[in-house]
Amino acid sequence: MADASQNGEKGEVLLQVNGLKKYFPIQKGLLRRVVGYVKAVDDVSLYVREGETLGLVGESGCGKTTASRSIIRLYEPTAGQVLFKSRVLSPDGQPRMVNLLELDRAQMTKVRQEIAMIFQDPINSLNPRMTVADIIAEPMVIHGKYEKGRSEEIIIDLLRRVGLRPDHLRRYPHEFSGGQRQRIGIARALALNPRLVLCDEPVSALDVSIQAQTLNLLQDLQQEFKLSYLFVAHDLSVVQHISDRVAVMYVGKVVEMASAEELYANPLHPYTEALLSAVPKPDPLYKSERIIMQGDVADPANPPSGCYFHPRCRYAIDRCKAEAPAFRELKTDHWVACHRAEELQLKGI
Amino acid sequence: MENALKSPTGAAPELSMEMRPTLLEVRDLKVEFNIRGGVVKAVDGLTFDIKRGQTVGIIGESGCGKSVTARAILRMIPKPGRITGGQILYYRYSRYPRQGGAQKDVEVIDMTTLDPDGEPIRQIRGGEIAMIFQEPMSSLTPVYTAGTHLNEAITLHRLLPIKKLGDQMVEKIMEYRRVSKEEARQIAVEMLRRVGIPKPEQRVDSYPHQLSGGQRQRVMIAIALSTEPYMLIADEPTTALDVSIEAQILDIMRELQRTANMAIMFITHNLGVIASMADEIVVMYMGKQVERAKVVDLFYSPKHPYTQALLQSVPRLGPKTGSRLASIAGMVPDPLNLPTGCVFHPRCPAFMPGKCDKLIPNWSKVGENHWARCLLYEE
Repeated sequence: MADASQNGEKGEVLLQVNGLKKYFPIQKGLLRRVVGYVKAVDDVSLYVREGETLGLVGESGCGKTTASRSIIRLYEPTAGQVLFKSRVLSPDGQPRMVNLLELDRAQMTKVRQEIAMIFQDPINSLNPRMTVADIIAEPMVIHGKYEKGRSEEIIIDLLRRVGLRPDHLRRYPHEFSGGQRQRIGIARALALNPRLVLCDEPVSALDVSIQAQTLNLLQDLQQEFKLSYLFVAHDLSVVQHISDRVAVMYVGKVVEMASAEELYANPLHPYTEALLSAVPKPDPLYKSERIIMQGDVADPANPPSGCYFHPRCRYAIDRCKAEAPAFRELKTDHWVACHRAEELQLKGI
Repeated sequence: MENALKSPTGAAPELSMEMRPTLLEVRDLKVEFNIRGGVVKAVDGLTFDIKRGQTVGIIGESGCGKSVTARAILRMIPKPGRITGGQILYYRYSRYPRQGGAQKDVEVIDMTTLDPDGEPIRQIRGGEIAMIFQEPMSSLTPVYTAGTHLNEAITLHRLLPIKKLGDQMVEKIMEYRRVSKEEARQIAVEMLRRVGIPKPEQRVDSYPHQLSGGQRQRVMIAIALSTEPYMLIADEPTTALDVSIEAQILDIMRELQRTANMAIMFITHNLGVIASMADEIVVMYMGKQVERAKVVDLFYSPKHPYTQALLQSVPRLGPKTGSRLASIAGMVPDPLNLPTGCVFHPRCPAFMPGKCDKLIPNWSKVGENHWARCLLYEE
């Protein structure tokens, strides 16, 4: 999985997000006047190459999910650019970059064939009144690709691929365990042969042993179908395991982005360092120097001045309070938003 | 030595775990749920003990009986579940001991014989054995402030000394009274401060929805600890929280355990958390205890194939070792239709045909303080 990038043959950029913003208005009073904005996603820039997995980590409420949903325009972004290399929208079938935010409704529906989504909650993301066959067929029906007979074969094949049996077809979601339901969700995501899959915490609701099975399945499917993943999760060990590159978010902003190995070994942002140190290690003899971040995550409706992380940062200086750091490429492919990134010696794992 | 056990002021003397007095002994506990489809053996033959000041971790996947065990100890099993066998012996130390005669103050109560609605269990539940639940969102009542929640626990279970008679040379006799409203509020504020909630004087009047998830869980911990319990049952206390908040909460729990010499029964499925918290670990699978060992032994030489597989299936931070995780094949079986023999045999990599599917393994000793339920370790 990680081999492609290690051999130097990096895939071309499939998804490029520039300065994505999503503000939710706060309304008050009788006239529902807008009194402020929750800056759920505030200037997110990232990219995903073909065939790779980009992990997106951060604490709850940092905007990971909103970012991934804004990319596919489930939430209408406030500003920014989402460039996606689309096949279906180009007349000659050659993949071409399009800005998803400029597409009209019909075009957007079309492009959604190529971008699928796997949701966190395997219970609520499946319609309880539809059978497995209907659930997996639904994307095909919506996009007018359902043909009797042939599509059913595809569905049976998909079921086998995700480790379910053909006799599961006529069953309803409640008859399955959590891990199996997540497999149904994965099969549905793959029904239209997408190129990019947005995985929103796909394993966080699953037990450890089932989580391992699901992660392995996602990796196998990635190789088989040449998929690219945007893998949103809060579990840093899971993200390291599955990702080629990792982006770390804090209060609506991406604060660091690098290859998984680089980011975990040589973090450049103090937030990344603190997050890594806080992960409990499954080793009773491991004596770690925990960095306990004081206080809670900043309120995205009323973020602190300057660098949003400065009230919790142990390296903060006066400049951090006044000036927001730019997101810049400090080393090759290692992006960071911190004023002191050059001088700090941060500890990785 | 005994009277130092529950000294509210000083830290406990460092005792090795074996020397500490037992607080709770669970012997062959069985809990069954008689539902329409049949009988689910939620807990089947669980045996372990918790010493004062010790942390015992209970790990296993969902549905393995971890939480039912916790609720069985406090006699809070929802219907139609009931305890069908075994004992839960609670070594009850007199709440406010007359110093000098501490040993006499120990009373052994079999919790399984208590009336779940009776006065004795209601004194123990919340007061002497407190519990933190997994969901900080739904375990606080939305219409009451944090302070009201705390007050309830404090006024029910906390007593304050009113006078001291005699001195240390003679026998010290103390009498106690319930706390007043103002004192309860003071204690509540103090507890909130101890669990690290900023501006506790104001936060004490906050409603649950005004608090963040981490703060809510801290309020839960404050409630549980405000009664100065001997034992805390923490049922997945950090599962719903982020790593940074989780680290804070675990630190608070360790700190409070050290100062109050409180025992903790820590239920989780997060192996990373348990490695840093527990002294001893019980591994459960489908209601059965499959292994019990000291934390280092369990992580470094797990004996039961299930424990081994569980440890291998977690992704670990650090340099990448392999691109695939070792996963446990198959799924957790239907509790109404358990496999014959060893319940783990259909998923077990060390499955011995003709043996594991026929014989029920015994609980056997596999090392010093190390027990497992597996036919590999039987002749």
